[in-house]
This record gives sequence, structure tokens and C-alpha cells, in this order.
Amino acid sequence: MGQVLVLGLISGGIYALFALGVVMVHRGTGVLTFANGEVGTAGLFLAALLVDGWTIPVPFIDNPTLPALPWALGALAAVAFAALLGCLFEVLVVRRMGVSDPVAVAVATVGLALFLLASELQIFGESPKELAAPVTGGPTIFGVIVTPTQIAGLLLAIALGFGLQAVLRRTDFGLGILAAAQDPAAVRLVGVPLSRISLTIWGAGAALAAIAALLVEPTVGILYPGYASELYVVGLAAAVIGGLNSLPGAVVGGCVLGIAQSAATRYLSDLHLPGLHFVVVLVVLLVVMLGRQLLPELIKRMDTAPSRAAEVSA
Amino acid sequence: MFLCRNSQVTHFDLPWGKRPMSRPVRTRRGGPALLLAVVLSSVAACSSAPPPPSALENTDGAAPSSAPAAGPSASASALAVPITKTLADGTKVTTVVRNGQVIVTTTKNGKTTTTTKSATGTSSAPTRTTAARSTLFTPAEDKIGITSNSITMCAHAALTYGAAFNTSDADLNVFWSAVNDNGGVYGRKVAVTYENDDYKPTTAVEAARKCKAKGIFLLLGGIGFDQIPAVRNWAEENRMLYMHHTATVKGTAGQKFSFAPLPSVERTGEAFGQLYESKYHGKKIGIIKRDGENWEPGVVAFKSYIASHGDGKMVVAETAVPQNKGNYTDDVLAMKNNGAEVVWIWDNALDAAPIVKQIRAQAYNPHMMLFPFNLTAQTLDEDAFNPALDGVAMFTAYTNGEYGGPFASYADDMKLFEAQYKKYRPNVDLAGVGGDLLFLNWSAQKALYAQFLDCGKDCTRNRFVDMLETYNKRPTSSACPLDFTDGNHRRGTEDLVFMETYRDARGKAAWRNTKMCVGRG
Repeated sequence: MGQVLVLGLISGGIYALFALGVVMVHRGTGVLTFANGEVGTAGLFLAALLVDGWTIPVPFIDNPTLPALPWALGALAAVAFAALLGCLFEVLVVRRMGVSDPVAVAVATVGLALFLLASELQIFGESPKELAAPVTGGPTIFGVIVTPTQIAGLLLAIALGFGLQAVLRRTDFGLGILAAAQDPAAVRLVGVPLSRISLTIWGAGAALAAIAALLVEPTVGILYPGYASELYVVGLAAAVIGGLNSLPGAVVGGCVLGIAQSAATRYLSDLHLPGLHFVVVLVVLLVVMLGRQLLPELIKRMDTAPSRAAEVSA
Repeated sequence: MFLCRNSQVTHFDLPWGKRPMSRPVRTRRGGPALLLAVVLSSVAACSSAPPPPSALENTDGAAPSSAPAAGPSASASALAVPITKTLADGTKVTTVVRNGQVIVTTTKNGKTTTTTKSATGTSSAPTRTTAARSTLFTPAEDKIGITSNSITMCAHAALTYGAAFNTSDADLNVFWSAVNDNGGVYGRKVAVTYENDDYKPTTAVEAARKCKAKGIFLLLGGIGFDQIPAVRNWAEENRMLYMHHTATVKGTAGQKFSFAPLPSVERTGEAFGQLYESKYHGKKIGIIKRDGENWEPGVVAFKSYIASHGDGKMVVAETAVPQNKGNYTDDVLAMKNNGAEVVWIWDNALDAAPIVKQIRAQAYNPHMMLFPFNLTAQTLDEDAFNPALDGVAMFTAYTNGEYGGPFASYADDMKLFEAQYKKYRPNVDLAGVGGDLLFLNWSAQKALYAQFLDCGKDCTRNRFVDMLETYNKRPTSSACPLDFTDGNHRRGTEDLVFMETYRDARGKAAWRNTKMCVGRG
């Protein structure tokens, strides 16, 4: 059981990191973004380029090779690059779509993901690459070797989940973000710079995706275009489980899914159920969604039951 | 236990001279097509004619002759294409046409004799006067895609993933470029085009439709356990002659329009069982398998085989993973916790690499069996050793520039392959991650070329089917023997190749053969 928890939290940390970016953007703009997996991967490619001193595939220049930089610098560049991508998307696409339905913007994020995927394929090819982990080794917990990046991923997810939540609720800028998502027109009328808020949200969401990709890569072991797609899909599910607007909820959702999958692998593999990996995600989603619908009604009934009993007895 | 079929080896040497380089025949540009290569390789594997090293010796600058030539193969002589034939007693007979002369070189017991005679009056390509036995195609369908000066084919393949192997579709037509520059097939230029199936069944059927719209003679199918069954059904409904890569036998009863030169999914799973029994009999084994109905028959065959050898209870763990799962730590731990000493990774090349890495990351060092692609080995590098990985493949290993030891028996093919790429696609990195796949593709095309030669000058679709259904040869030195004569379209060969990882002369992790052409035994 201990091992299931450890394995579940490792996976959960990964899902949570991706889910945080989803929630961040959704909370601030009402848009469900599908691009963050690929935005993070693009950042990761840049980090690998800088850290491993790759030869740059630039036409007309004879194999320029970059000097290898420390992992931290590569990671910083990756996060900055991803943030820049997010900001560019906001300026070039989202802003031009004006007051479009969030669904239309969501579709545009699919376009961004495909564009980035195609660009990565074109520039780097799909041959798997490797970005050496910043630190190796790690403790053995319940028989599982847990790497420092896995621990960092989980801790960072928790810290970001609760930290960003606090920022949103307790700072003027954060409140402006929340208000902008609820009523953009009113926010604009009271003088809050809506465009700056939108820019910040898209940039921050993309930066979170890069952080997630950087911390996930040592677990996967390799990177290639689209490598985070499956993880990101489960991250989306984690965000939905968390309520889509709750950053701590995204962390919890990620951990719940991670533990559920780990338990299923441990206890249900012998049943040889096809699609078990996805069935688990679906079942957890259904349980949570139904629970969210039915629980308030149940509580309401429980509240009204004593008063009815009192009425009857009276 | 493992039976390697020793059939007569027949080579058709292509004496590419120093003609001006011509563009490869292709229609699509951009998408890499690794799988395609594999598809073709499967096709090739079932055909019969690879060019040996003698072709490389033909470097006198003379343009390939178009005059008819005498020689061991009438069809080849009609093309003025040199032929090397290895007889049952080991005698090697090579026939080359130069400047109107037929030069026959015979090598026996290390002794070589050469005779020269005029080519005048020699035989030409086989010309059939009898009707084809097959009536699969109507007269209206029989000559689709083949004219007096062209043969057109089309392949569906996961071009999207070709980039993984640094290959493009232009890299895949080198063999046909060389054939076309040397007169084509009985004067017919060969054009092969590619349609991206995106590694998805529905897209594959759409790609097949696009191919058919081009009026092709033959549809080729690249790697894709999930795509091929869908296209196979489509081909049956649409009366399309279809040659495809490895796929399940399941669901093929009564199908007539498709042929599979390579071993089936079921047979491949069984071959992994043979590898396990030959090296790890009695050891606990765990299976990390792709979650999918077209992958499962391989696992069933594997388990059935090892059960028949008393190891049925040795499977101590089994987990099914979706494509591109990313984090396999829980699957790895399932293997480790159950004490699996051997792990069989039944998944594709891209997903196998992270699984192996994550196994090593858990300080777990079981023996591992997987599909042997250089892409995986080079990606894994150090992780591909201690212990070395084991592989089972439908093709032979390729390491650029190494012709001895496990490569010696088909070094002629390797040298010709490298010479052609040097001429037509000099920038392709044959020592890189895609070199083995390009060789596999090339070998398959060479085999297909040989089949077209066997089909004859008056080849039609029905005659092609006739040829296939009577085919029982070793198509190239780098392929295993093929035999369709039992009437089973799904069993061109049941031979697979066992491999292991090693460090090549460049220091790269690569694969080498440990057992060639392992049959059911």
C-alpha cells in the first residue's frame, strides 16, 4: 500500500504540475487551454539545446554549436521562452479574437499545440533526445527509488497550488485577475488594465507548463515532440476533478488520479482489462462529477429531514 | 530447436554505373517515412532478388547496357541486369552484361573462372503466352497501374513518425532511382508514392483511398499493428492488391487481396517465446505490453509457447500500457516487486526507450527483450547494456560499415545499399538512428523488384498473384526465405532474427544478429 501511495504521488505530482497551468489560464480567462503540454515541450527542447550544447539546425550556417550551459540556466531560459510563447499567443491570437466565446479561444490553443508540434518535428526531428537531470540518485521509499526531481515536482505543485491561490485571493492584482474572469466589462470600467492581466495569465500558464516539463523529463527519461501529450491529457482530467477553478484542487485532483492509476496497476492488472489506464481516469472523473452534483442535494436533504420530522411531530 | 531454412540463394546484381544522378521517383515531399520502409521491407522480404557486391565491382564507368543478356535468369538478362546466383553446392555464378558482351564469373572453392561471349541472340524476358491462373482481377482491373513504360505503387505509412528516424520519403526511393536509371523493370520506370496514415487505422484507410485514386498497381502497407487490419479489410472490399507489414492473422479468413511477406503478430510473439526459452528457460518473466486488441494476439502466442515448454507459470507480472504513456514507474515496479528476472517489452521503438530507462532508474537490471531498432539502442546508449538487450526482428541487423561476423552473410547487400545511398542521397546519415530502417526498406524494395522480374515482361495483377502464390525463394541475402506455396497469404515467412545490443566500431550502441532466420522449429 505504501508503494502504491509513493508511485501515485510521483504520478500525481506530474499531473498536478500540468493541471496547475490549465487551472491558472481557465481561472483568469475562462478558457480551457490544450496547448500547454506542447508549450512545455518547446521550452524543454530549448533547455536541452542549451544544456547539452547541441548543434543548432540553422540553414546556411555550418553547424554552429552552442556552449553547454548549467542546467539551471537552461531551465530558466526554458521557462522564459515558454512565458514568451504564452504572451505572444495572447497578443497575436487571443487579443485579436476580442470577446469571442472561450470555446473559440480553446480551439485556437489546439492550433497553437499543432503548430508547436510541427515546428519541433521540423527543427529537431522526432528522434528522442535526453536532458540530463540536474541531480541524480534519491531515497528509496517503500522500495521505490524516488528522484529529487520527483520530490521537487510534488512539493512545487503543492507550493504553487496553495501559493498562487493565496496570491489570487489576497493581492489586488490577483483579485483583478479573478474579477476580470467574472466580468471583464466591469473590470475595464473601474480602470483595471485588462490586457495586462490577460497577458500575465497566458504567460504564467505557459511558464508553469515549462516548469512541469522540466521536472517531468527526468522521470520519463527522454523527450521528443509530443512526449507530454498523454501526461497532459491526464493533467487536464486532474484539473477538471479539482473543479477547474481551484489551484489546490488541481493538486489534489492530480494526486487522486495518480494514486488511482497506481492502485489499478497494482491490483487490477491480473484482470487484463483493456484500456485500464483510461478507465481509471474515467471512473474517477465520473465519481467526482456525480459526487459534486449529488453531494449538495444529499446535504440539503439531510438538513431538511430533521425539520420535517419536527413538523410531523408537531 | 531453431530451424534456419537453407534454401538456394539467388541474387540479381544491379550494376549501377556512373550515370548522371536522377531524381528519385516520388510524389510527396516532406514527411519522413520510416514505417514505409518497413512496409516495403516486408514486401521485399517476400520477393526474390537482391543485388550483391559484384554490382559494386562494376565501376568501369560504362553505362548499364540495355542489351539482352544471357545468364542464369532470363528475366534479369532481359534487363541487362547482372545476376549472382549461389548454387546449392556453394558455387557462385555472376553474370554481367558489358558492351554487348555477357561475362559469366564462376567461383567455386575459392577458384574463379570467367567466360565471355556475345550477347547477341540471347534470351529475353520470360514472355508468357498462357493466361494467368489467377482470376482475382477482372480484365478491366488486371492492368491498372502497369503500362509498357511504368509501374506505379503507393504506400500508406506513418510519415509523421519518420522524423523519429531522421528519414524522409525521398530517402526511401533510392533503390527505385537506381533501378530506373538502369532501365527500370523491363523498360518500365517504377514510381512509388506515399500517403501518411499518421499511425492511425482510420487515417490509414483514408490514405489507402488516396493511393487507390492514383490508379496504382499495388498498395503497400508500412509498420502498424493497428492500421494494417483496417486497410486489409478495406482492400478486400475495394479489390485492391495489398502487400503489408506484420499484422495479426486474426480476421483474415477468406481474404484474397492482401499478402504478408513478413511473420504475423502471432508468430512474432511466439518467436519472443523461442528467444526466452533458448536463453532464459525457467526464469521469472514480466510483460509490459501495449494495450490493444491487435497487440494482444502476440502475447497470447508468447504465453502459449512458453507454456508448452513448461514455463507457463513463469509469467509473474503483466501490465498493459497505452501508447505514449510517459511515466511507467508503476509498471516497472510491478515487474520488480514480482521478481521478474526477464522483462518483455511488447511496445514500439519510441515507447520502449523510456521504459528501459525507467527500469534502469529503479536500480533494476533484468534481462530485457524488445523490438531491436537502432533508434532505441542509440537513444539508450549506456542503458542498452549490463546486461545487453535482446531483440526479435522481422529483418536483419544493420550497422554502417561493418561487414564481418554477424553481418557477413549479407555484406553484399549492405555494400550495395551504401554505394547507392552515397550516389543518390549522400547526405543521409546511414550510421544514425534511421540507417537500419533504410536498409530494411531497401532490402524490401530489392525483393519486390525481384518479384516484378519473376512476374515477367507481360506482368499483370493476376500474373503477379500467380507469381506470389508460387513463390518459394530467398529474395535477398539480407532476407529470410519466403514461401507462399502453401496458399497462405499471411505466411510469406515465419522466420525471424534474434539480436542483441553491442558497441559498434564507432562506439555507438547498436544491434547485431545472434541467430538468423529462426523458424518455428
